[in-house]
Amino acid sequence: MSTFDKTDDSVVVVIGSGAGGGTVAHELCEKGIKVVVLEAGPRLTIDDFHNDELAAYLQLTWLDKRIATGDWPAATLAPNAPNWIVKAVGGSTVHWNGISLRAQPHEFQAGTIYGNVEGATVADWPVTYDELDPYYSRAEDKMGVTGTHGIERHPANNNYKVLYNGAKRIGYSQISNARQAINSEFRDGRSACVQLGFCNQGCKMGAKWSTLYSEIPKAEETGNLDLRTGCMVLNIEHDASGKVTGVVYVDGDGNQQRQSARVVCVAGNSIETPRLLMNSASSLFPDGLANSSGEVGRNYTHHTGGITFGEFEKPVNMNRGITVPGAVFDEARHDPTRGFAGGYLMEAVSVGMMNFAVVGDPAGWGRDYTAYLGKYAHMAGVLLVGEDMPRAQNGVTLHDTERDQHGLPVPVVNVETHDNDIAMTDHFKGQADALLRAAGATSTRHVITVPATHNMGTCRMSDDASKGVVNSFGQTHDVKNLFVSDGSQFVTATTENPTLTIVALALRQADYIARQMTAKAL
Amino acid sequence: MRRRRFLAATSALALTATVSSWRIALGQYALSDGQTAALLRMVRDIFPHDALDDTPYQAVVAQISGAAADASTYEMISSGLMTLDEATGGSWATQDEPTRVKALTEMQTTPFFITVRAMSLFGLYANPAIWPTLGYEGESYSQGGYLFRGFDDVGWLPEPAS
Repeated sequence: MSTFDKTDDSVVVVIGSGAGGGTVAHELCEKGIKVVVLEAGPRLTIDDFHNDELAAYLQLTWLDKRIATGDWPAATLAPNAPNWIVKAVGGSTVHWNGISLRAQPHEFQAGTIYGNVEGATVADWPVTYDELDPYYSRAEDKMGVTGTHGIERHPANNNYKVLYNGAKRIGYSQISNARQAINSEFRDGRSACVQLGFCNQGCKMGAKWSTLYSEIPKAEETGNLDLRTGCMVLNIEHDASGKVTGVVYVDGDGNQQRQSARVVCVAGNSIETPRLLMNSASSLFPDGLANSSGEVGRNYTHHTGGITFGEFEKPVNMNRGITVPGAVFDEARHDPTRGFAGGYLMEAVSVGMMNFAVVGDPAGWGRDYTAYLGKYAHMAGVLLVGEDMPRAQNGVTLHDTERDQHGLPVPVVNVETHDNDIAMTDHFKGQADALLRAAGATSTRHVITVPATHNMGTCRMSDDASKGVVNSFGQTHDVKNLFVSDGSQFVTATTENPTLTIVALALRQADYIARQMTAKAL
Repeated sequence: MRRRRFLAATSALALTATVSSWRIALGQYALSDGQTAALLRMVRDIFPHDALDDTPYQAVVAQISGAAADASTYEMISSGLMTLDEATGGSWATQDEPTRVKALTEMQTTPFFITVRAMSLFGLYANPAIWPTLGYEGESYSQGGYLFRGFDDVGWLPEPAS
């Protein structure tokens, strides 16, 4: 591990160490570029992880106050914790499921293909599937995605068997348990999965890809990485010409520091990234850094969500093994005859006892409810992951008066649900009921939506500087040496779990930054 | 203020904050034996599992009692229990189950009930001691996961084609 001088203005500063930040940092280091990563959270090890929902939640979660507004369930059920995001080295690659899906080609042209969706800000991406294809392939190889690059898929666990058979019986044909960035055999220094369960609590086998133990240590081996943990960035500074020159942060000892930079990459997830840009407002950028478009903080998406549990006569023991072991893709297409734009996935999912009790009914109690909870071992779950509509009013703003421990305005996350999301969710509920009953369920229950783990948009891409914050490489239109390197870049949510796309975009961005630096354009 | 508090009580985040504040509180206020006995009855009625003995429920009551060292929480718990007694003609905890549940149902949107329910929810269902009774197997790392312990033992459904 290297240490670079705080006045060294040749370094690239990357803020955040998750799927986007950790990947772009590693790639730049491999290209011989010096990188300082500033991570707000601690550096945990695999041994630190808990096979326990509550202990892991308290260990991993970004618990700084947020305020949820609007009509989404979080606004009433988790008004100060609407997003489940990790504050630790590795970011949300510590608690993600590992499911690694490419967005579909048509989803990059949602604006053209979906047409005008009233009350939504659907638009085309400035990058096509074909342009991203080689980066998807590199990402799959890097992450060790099963079903790609000759990597064996996992054997089917119980929960997946329910999903698969139910889906077959109601006429679905596109069902798969491949595309997991979870090792089915030893690969790239990572162990094989032994079906622990607890994928979301930090993989205690280290079988699941995470920048914590994949990208970051490799970047350190190059000698080009200076990783600083417990460092919360307060603002990004710029010179009179509008180029960023460095970042101001509070270190782990509570001391304010400044790191100079040649390039700054922001990868704090879709809440913290726009928040930092807004907190970096100046006389030159009065509405927030790189916000001449007014799009910073807007167009937030978090995927339609929800779980349907089915109860079976015989035990399923859904907790045994991979948390999201497979998915049905038949509803992922864009087919407006269903009454909504975009598509959704039906993913097998399990939760542990605590979350099972929390989500079953936000006000549930009494003998009916405990009878349901007592059937835990007989339950199988199906998760909705679908494309929700971006809207101008959905997103992140700064609270007028509330401040966090650093004196920074607390982020307000507003979501006003689009009718398209409701129509999609209703369609899912019908199909999930049918699927589970076809597999043998005697009853089903639609439970509340958990806090958002897929957080996208808020600094969207566009070729048009008046309609987006960044170009197709994540470079801000207003400040050429400032980049957004996480899911904030997404134009639309797409149907798929976002991590693989975030990694592919980060790989492409790193190539671009290195080219631009070589050409002295940065 | 109260509304804000009980809404927040549904998130684990708030739970942590609450637990921290309890630790700061000193025992200036204390529930009586009669009140803790009634609370035990109440927690059992909110999440009744007949197969469980009182131990995990008593652990929840101990947490609530700790929280009641804070004056406003003490006031909320005391007056809530008093309201239950008044609704059932004197001693709620000694009534039969339908009578107790009817009185609780009438209280179920109050901050008192919602707070006790939220603390019971996390206190019980995050407690590994009750998991075997409910069919949840808990941590698996120490036992090598389920790869050789039944991760695919559903024999009543056909094997998926790969």
